[in-house]
Amino acid sequence: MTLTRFLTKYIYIPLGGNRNGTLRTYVNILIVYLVSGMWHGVGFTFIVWGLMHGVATVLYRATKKEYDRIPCVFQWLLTFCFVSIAWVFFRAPDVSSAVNLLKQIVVGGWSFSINAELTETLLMPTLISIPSQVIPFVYVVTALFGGTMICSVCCRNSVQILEKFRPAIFNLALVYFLLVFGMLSLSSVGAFLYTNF
Amino acid sequence: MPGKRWIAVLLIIVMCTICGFAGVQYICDPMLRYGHESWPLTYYEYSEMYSNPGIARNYKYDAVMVGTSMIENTNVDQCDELFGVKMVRLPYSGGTTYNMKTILDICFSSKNDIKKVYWELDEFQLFGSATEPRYPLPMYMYQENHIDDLKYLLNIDLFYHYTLKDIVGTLTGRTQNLERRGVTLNGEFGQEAMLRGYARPQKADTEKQFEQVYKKKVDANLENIRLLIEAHPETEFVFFLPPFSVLYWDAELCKRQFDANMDGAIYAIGELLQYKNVSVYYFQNDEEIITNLDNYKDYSHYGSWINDLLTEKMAMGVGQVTEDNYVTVVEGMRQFIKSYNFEQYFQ
Repeated sequence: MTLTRFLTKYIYIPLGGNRNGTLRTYVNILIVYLVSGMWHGVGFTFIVWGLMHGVATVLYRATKKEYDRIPCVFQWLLTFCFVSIAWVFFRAPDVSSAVNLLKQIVVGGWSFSINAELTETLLMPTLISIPSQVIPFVYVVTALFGGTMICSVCCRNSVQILEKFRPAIFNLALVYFLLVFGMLSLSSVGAFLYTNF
Repeated sequence: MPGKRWIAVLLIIVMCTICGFAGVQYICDPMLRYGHESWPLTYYEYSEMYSNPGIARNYKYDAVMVGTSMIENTNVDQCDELFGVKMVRLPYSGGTTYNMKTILDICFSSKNDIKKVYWELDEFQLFGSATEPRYPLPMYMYQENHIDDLKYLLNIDLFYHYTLKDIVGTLTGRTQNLERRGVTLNGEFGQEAMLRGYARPQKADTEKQFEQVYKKKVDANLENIRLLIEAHPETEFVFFLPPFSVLYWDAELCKRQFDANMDGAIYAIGELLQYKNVSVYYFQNDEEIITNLDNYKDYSHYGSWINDLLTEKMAMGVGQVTEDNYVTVVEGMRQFIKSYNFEQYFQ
């Protein structure tokens, strides 16, 4: 039972789901996302985070025909930006801190530099220190960002992979490597956003 | 390959790899967590936060030196010879009294009969946090129990940065004992380099008062120290205040907290000297050292030759202050700094 299924089964459907007209459906969606926000934590930031997703879902439903005509690359970009902004409220200690952080995004002029704190969250010393001895760190991080982006866009996701999964030597080796590396890195992983849940 | 066989093969090879990895880490024991009787390695990479608890638990010694980076260059062999002890040195760069108390508690819980504790005590400790380490400590290395040992045994970073280097060092015939290691605080020394790196702070608007701003912090830090002194009356605690360069005091004057600093030193020394098992050495007023900027790499860190000199002085009783003279000595320092010509460095 996932949280989504739980909220659908025990809140959205008992509220009437989408059976009582458009307006009521939107209200039900907002209630579900409000509860989802409250489930994630105590504080106004979580309510804001939940309601942001509720409003976005309602807006999508209301403009589905028009929205779906937008090229998918822009859809991805829009969704990514929206979810990233919403995460700020999820993670911030209070709403004013979140707003301050968002304000900081649009000050300081134009320049291409990667904030040290951001790169540190990606820091996997053992993996990175090997190539960074010969390649500057900023290129390694950029390559990691780029690689992650390409994987996100071009590769199949875990559900799709699982559907077509066939046991074989190649994927055995891959799973083995990832599993072992993951287990050996447990005591040195950095802060993980979802760690409190 | 059938699914069940795939999973079985995966589990077996993963388990074998993990067990093998943990086994190598356990045998090499790069941070001396287990203090094996006959260590297979002759070479050890040192990391203060990770190695210190292992040294504290497993080495045989009767004296300990704790402190910040100011003792990172102290020569342990020289201390042994001049103080007539068998010492281990356990520094924490920028360490707080919490750091010192944590590691000394481990020392006192070891099998060693500790006769002397040499404690480098400075303003950063007295005015710093009494409840937090300077940097987060890997607590699994500090706990007596072995519940969290998997974090040590299954740690790819420790393996890569320490175990692997230890093995390579040993195979290439190198030796390095953790508690005898030499100079670890390196860099470019000399007045020119030091002045290049010194950013004179802007003059603060208001004068900070010891009673109002710092006394609570000093009291909390002294409490950490008191707990140890009182719990171990049979141990002699030797505190020494290191000689920061005159530029450190210039910065304090600019921040308008110099007098508060001096008041704090007088207060702390007075509190410590109330104990019979305590002696205090005050080197902050050593004019020959602190006015010669060639001794330093920045406004506080001096070279290893100063560490050696301090050891010699302490062995001869030079620099010791008593209940009768400590106020006069620190007040003398106050007057010296206030009348010192700092502008000569900035013309």
